[in-house]
Amino acid sequence: MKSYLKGRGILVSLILLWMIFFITNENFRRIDSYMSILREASFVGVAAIGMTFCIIIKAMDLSIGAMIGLLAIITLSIVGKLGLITTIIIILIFGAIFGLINGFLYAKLGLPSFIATLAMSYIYKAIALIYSKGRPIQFSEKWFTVIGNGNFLGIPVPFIIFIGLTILGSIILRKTILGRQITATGNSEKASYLSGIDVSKVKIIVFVLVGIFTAIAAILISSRLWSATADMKSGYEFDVIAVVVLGGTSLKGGKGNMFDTAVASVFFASIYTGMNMFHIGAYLQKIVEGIILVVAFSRGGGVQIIHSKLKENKLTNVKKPRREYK
Amino acid sequence: MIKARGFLIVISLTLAFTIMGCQANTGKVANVASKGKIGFSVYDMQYEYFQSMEKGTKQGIVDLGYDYILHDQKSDQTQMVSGSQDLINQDIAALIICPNNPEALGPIVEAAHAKKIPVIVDDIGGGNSDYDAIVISDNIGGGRMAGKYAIKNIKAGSREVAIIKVEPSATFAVRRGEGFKSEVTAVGFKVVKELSGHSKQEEGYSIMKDIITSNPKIQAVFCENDPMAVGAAQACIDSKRKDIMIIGFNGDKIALDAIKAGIMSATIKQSPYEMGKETVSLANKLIKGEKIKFDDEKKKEIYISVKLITKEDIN
Repeated sequence: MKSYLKGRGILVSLILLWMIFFITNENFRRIDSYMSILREASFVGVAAIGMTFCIIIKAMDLSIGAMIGLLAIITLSIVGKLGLITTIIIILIFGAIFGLINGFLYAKLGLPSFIATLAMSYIYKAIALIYSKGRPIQFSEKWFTVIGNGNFLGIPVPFIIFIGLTILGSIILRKTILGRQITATGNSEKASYLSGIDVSKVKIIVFVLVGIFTAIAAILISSRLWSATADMKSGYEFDVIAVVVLGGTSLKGGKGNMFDTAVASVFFASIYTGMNMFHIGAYLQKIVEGIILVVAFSRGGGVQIIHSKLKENKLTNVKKPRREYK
Repeated sequence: MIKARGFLIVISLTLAFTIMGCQANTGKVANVASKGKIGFSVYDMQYEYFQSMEKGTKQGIVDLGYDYILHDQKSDQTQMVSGSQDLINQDIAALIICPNNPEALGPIVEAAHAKKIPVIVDDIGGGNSDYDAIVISDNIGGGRMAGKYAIKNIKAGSREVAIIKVEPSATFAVRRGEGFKSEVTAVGFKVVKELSGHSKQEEGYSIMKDIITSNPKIQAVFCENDPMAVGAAQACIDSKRKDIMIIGFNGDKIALDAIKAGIMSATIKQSPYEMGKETVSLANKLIKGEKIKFDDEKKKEIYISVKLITKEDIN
């Protein structure tokens, strides 16, 4: 147990936080509060799965907020006519296409990822505004809203989906060749290239993954809110990045763990719910949000900088270059 | 790695204690003989309008002997839904909400009703949700008031008037123009133009410019909100047509200043404070299971009276 907890600071932190909440606030002695935390954590958490891949390769996707707005609007406007399954497929394809565009700009045209995705975020948002004419779109049929609002055996449905996707993300990262290539690319692009990895292909695939997970988040959020507007999630990318970095994924690349990201998203949601339960004023809440961002980024950048530097030299996880004799 | 873990633990403790420390500062409004809690989720406390709405709500809740919990949505619909859920989880007896996005009221009302908590909407809109009551300004009455004012002050001339409307989707605010129109047309005025300025000051300006060109005999313009009225007043000054009467709606500070300076004639003032108080008395009735008398039974609407403000009222 001790060795398991070692290196899982975020899990220990979460348990501590919940213990303090439980002791000091009567509202946290109800199971409802925790279920509501898990529900809220699912939305940011699903988007964070994609972002974890992205940060592992030292890139950043700043278009997530705009993408969610656009995809949520599309979801709600077609789900009534096409049914759930078709809608999900279409939205996932849209998400993949958006990711493909982002990835192409980053990997093939060589734009810095935050510039490329920032530029695209304006475009996604503009399309969303044009498509929705700046009006909220609503869809309130029960069979759809249950995805974001329902419970299955007392557990929020989005959280079940979130756990499933976290396992999927972890399998992709740990057990597949693609996952190893992603980690290798994040560790050292040059070494990966030399060892025969098609680095720009890996980068594009990562952005496609971000797009797909963002699309799932968009479906969940639009179902939760029964409605969507173009700017419903502007600035959301920073919440997502903060969660990923809190979960121990280094901004220096090459290192990340899906389960820690998932725990971090629960931690993040706990802070928000905690502030509401303790009736903290809105302005003070902003201060706490600021502290979290500083903490997340100083952790992601500072503490692990030495580790990643060392790794760059050691080329861990990278397959040895193939030599071909003739 | 151990270092990183220690760091995180320190941080989470700091956060936890910051949160608790902040609580000590803000404090709850607690009553000795409490009847229960009423939660109020407000649109955004940055705006004066919602500040006075909050004051009225808080006063009403304290007067009736309930505990008061405030949540600020900060103009964010996600915060609106998750924060309201947090209020519901605190065993409140009733939820009062001034929604940032009425379209997202559905899940809140559903969650509240699952716990038998009544939901009272304050202003903005109901978004087709199943709320228990909605309190809004008497928009038709306010429009009529503006119409009466115009009739009283326009004795002779072309009797041509125009209305600059808000966006058609603002279903409550469009009633203002309807009220104005029914009042003035009843005594033989002609509404020569009815255009939407989408609630924006600059559009109010450009529409007014167009009206002056196309209908130079115009005598009065009713704008469904104050920013558009101020824009229209600016257009009249630029076209040297100070004779045109401009009436707004809201009671915003810019409009009051314009009335004081004599470039606008009047505005219809809404009272968010009274609206807040009314929501509490409705909540109290719903908690006790008393019947509410609606102004519009079908839409569960309750109207709060508005007030005509002219130059004499300001000084």
